[in-house]
Amino acid sequence: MNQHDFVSGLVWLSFSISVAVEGITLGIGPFNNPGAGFVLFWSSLFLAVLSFCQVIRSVRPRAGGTLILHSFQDVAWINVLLSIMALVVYSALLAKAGFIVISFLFMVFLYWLGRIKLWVAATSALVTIAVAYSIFHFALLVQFPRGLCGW
Amino acid sequence: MWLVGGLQRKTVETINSLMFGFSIALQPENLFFCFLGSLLGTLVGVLPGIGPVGAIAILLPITFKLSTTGAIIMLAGLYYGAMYGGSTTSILVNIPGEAASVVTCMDGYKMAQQGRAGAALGMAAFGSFIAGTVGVVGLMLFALPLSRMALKFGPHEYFALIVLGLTFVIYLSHGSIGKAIMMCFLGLILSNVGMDPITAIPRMTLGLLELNDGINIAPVAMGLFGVGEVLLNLERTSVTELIKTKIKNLFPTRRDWSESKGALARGTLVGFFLGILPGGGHVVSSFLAYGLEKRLSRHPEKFGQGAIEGVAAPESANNSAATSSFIPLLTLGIPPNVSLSILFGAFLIHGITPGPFLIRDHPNVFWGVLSSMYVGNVMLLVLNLPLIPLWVQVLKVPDRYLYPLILLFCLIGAYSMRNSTFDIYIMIIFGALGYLFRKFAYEGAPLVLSFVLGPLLDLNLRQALLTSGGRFSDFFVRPISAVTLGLAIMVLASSVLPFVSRKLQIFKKVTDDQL
Repeated sequence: MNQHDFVSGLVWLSFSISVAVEGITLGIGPFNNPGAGFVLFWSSLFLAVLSFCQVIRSVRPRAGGTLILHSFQDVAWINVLLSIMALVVYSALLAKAGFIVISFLFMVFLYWLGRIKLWVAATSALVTIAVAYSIFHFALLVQFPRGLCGW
Repeated sequence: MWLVGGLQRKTVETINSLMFGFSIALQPENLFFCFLGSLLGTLVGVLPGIGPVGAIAILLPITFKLSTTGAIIMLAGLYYGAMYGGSTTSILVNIPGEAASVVTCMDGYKMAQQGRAGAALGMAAFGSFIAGTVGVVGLMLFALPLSRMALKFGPHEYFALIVLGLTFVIYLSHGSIGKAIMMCFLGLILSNVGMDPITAIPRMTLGLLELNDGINIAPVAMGLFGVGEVLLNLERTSVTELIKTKIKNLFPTRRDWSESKGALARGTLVGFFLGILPGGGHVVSSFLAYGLEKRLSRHPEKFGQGAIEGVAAPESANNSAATSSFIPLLTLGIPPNVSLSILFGAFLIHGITPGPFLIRDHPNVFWGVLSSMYVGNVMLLVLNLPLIPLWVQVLKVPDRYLYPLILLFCLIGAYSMRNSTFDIYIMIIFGALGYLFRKFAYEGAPLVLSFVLGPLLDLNLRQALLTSGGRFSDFFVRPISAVTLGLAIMVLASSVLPFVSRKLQIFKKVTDDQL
């Protein structure tokens, strides 16, 4: 079994079914007066057929024995996971902590993740934030959230 | 006599328009944006990992504060600038800075290993300049008649052209055709999120007010091509090795020129005509130009061993294609590849719809951008040759400094669009999806192109059906849409037929064995 294609095929199949239902709810309409769900329904129907074919093909013996685990072996996937978590935390705290504080912490964390010494990471983060703030806030007039500290 | 008079009038008209364009492109503000775009494009091309698509997406929100002409000049400069820069990493590191330079690695890197890095880099830069400039001349000559012709297009023709564009992207995808088609439909579904343009009913908004206007192209592209690419690179532990050679003699010798002149001319022509076709023209053209040179060469065995024609042909082809790909975008309003689909988004954000009315309604934008391409090509030649040592130093910047910076720029870019964290969340979702897509062998390009073309396809298909009383046969009665759809069917069939014929052969063999 090709686990990659099997799992992703199932995900697309369930997604397309839910979209098709949404398309029907919105109204497909007749061909001479297509409704709001017309393209949505037909696109999801084609996607459903293709994902179903993919699921069937993936379970045949000739599809090979590809395991999802293989894709994450011998790679630093933990870096990816931590980076995504850092991005989510950044977005969640941006308004409360303010751009400067949260961006500084975010950059220090990412530099540290790249095995850079903490003091070098902190200095680099400080310089990066200063440059980014100057360009975006002063030159391009982007209004960043100031947060509870006021900066 | 009448014909000569008409031609003379049109030539004078074009020259006048070009002069008008130069008067806009040479304004200090636009010159600066052209320079900035070219510089950033070269940088993006030089740095492996982030391509022109990701870079245009990241810079897109920043351009909201600029004038429309300035914004498009900068983003266009970034796009064709990346074609120039892409060759540097191909030649020095054997890693293409972007997809169109993959083929340059074969002979460029070999030349560098033989101590001829300077000649390879010089030929790549000169070839790019010549092809880029010829491409702009072609763009100027083809754009006007094509946009006049496009005025006659109705919803049937537009629908057929969009289908052809999507078919080419599917056909030219690297992996499974089935998966590329699936990505295409996924893009169409996602493009339907938001208010329906005809009935004003909210579609798939999940009750979120932010989704009423639909999903913005910038966080989607930034996520898929910026964040996704960085995440993929973060899991890699290998270190890029830079070739240790002294870069000298950047000006190709007389012998180099004589060996490459045919390759340059053919590469430019191949690139120009393939660039007009929808779907990754600049990537395909570089491969095709290389293949053509190898076939025409008296010494095909030299290819892959450091032949200068192997650098000249693909580099001229990809630059010429990058320029000519603006023709369908500016005249028909149909972006032929992913980078230009984001540029299409930039036009829309600035309240301008590219297409047949662009030249009539916004001549300052059309002629300003076109003239800036002449200026940009000169800037790129001047930038590339003396700054090659600097680009080599840039290549030495460790990834652990570079990737956090890209992520921060993505975050700022996503936030600055509407001063809202909602777009950041969208970007993170598409970033994670982009990473998983690569792991599961799905391509982002068909998704983004169909996402951008989706609203146009939806509107034109429904309008066409409304006006024709629901008759699909009308698509095959109108000559332009019939030819275009016929071409799309042929392209799709050519990719599916080998698979079917293989299956038939297996079936025949099995039945023969059983008998």
